[in-house]
Amino acid sequence: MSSTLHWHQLQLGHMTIPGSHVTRGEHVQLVMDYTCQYAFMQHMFSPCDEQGNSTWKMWIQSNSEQYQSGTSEFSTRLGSMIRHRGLISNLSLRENLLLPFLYHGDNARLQQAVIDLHEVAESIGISTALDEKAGERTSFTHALISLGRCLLSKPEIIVAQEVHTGMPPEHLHQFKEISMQALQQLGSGLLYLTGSPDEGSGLQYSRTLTINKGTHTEQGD
Amino acid sequence: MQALHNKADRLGQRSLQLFSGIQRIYSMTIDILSIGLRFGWLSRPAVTNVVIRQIHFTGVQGLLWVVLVALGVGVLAVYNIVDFAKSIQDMSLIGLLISNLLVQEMAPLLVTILLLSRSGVAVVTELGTMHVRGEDLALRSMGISIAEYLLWPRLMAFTLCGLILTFVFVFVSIGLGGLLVSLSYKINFIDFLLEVRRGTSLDEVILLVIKGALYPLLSALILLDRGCHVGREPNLIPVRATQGVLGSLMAIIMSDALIALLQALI
Repeated sequence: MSSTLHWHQLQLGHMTIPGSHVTRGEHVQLVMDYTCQYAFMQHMFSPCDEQGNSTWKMWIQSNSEQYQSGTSEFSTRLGSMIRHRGLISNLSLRENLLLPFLYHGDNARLQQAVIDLHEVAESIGISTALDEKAGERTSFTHALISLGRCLLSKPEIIVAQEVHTGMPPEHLHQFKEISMQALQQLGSGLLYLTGSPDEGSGLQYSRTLTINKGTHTEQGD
Repeated sequence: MQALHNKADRLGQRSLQLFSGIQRIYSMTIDILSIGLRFGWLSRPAVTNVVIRQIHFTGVQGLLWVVLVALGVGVLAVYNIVDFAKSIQDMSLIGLLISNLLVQEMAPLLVTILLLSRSGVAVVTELGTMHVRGEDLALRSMGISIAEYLLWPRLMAFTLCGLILTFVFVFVSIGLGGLLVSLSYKINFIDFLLEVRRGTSLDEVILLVIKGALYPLLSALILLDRGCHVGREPNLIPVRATQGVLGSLMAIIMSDALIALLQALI
């Protein structure tokens, strides 16, 4: 099964984001300022009833099916790793990893996630801390939990937003290794939102779209 | 003339703010109720967990405070009412006054004030902190509805626990209050209960149910609105918490006055 994340041209304030797509296995970098990154994610994650039919601008095409952004079908096919936005502080790390499965109420997926949980926790190095309350954590832990959720849900496409930024060098090195291995294992498409082309992830991108005031450039295939 | 224009501008601005606030709360209420009353949340363990936690925090942990206040208020109210009725030698007033003052007015108001002071601030600060930390975006990115996961459990817990605690307040204040007063005063406990029963009608019980649910519901809506409008500024959390509690107090007092007015007209 091959899935592709599509978006139409978006007008975010003075910036125009050209319509584009990310297919499974493809790594695409979208370079723009933080405000635009945030607005882009708002478009992507707002519930469909808040967007209205006229502003339906993002969707996942999976074979002949289309899943509109903001629907549960869309969110189960899309993983996310947002900088310092990986944790809900009043839940334990275990609950944080299982939260989307506990919410969507699909028993088969929940049971599979519970089975895979320990292996995933082991691979991201948090197996001994699963029952700790999340509370205040570093960007590194936020990133690990986001990655852990992606490993559990095995999404077609992952959206990452400056997830490597703001980590001390030893954590950055550790996270780069874990995330590269995880992305290779999952084979998902990756859309990386960042303010700088050199964001420190060490990933190779097939395309880089750079958005500046009034202009945009595309490099790659 | 300029000063008059400025005053008119300020008045207009405040009116617009008030109306937009009412409109915002109205659309939020419709959103939350349309999701909550579909009962799809019952099949979502993540939401039922939050509902259970909220009911435990608001209802179970608040029970002791309600019982203690009900006991104190009950003893004082029953003592004064019985004393007054005896002084004018009209014992039929006992039931009437207990029903009108203690049951219909004080119970729903005091229980909502207790909920507000105990859980109200917690609701605003918890939601506000989540917004400041950007947890709303994290939830949305997982396809989780904010209205269903965060708002509905709090609204339901506040309303349901408010109603139940109002009845607990009534039973404790009349039962234990009457019992304690009967130990030290010249009134038989059974006679006291018969007078209370005689002075209470079904309409008054229905009104108690309405007030017992409406006041906590209104308070919860205002608190949720304030909690959701902290933005990304942590310094605004205590400001919004104060606004939420004071706004809720104003709303329940105005509702109480409106209900009294409607009763008088009907």
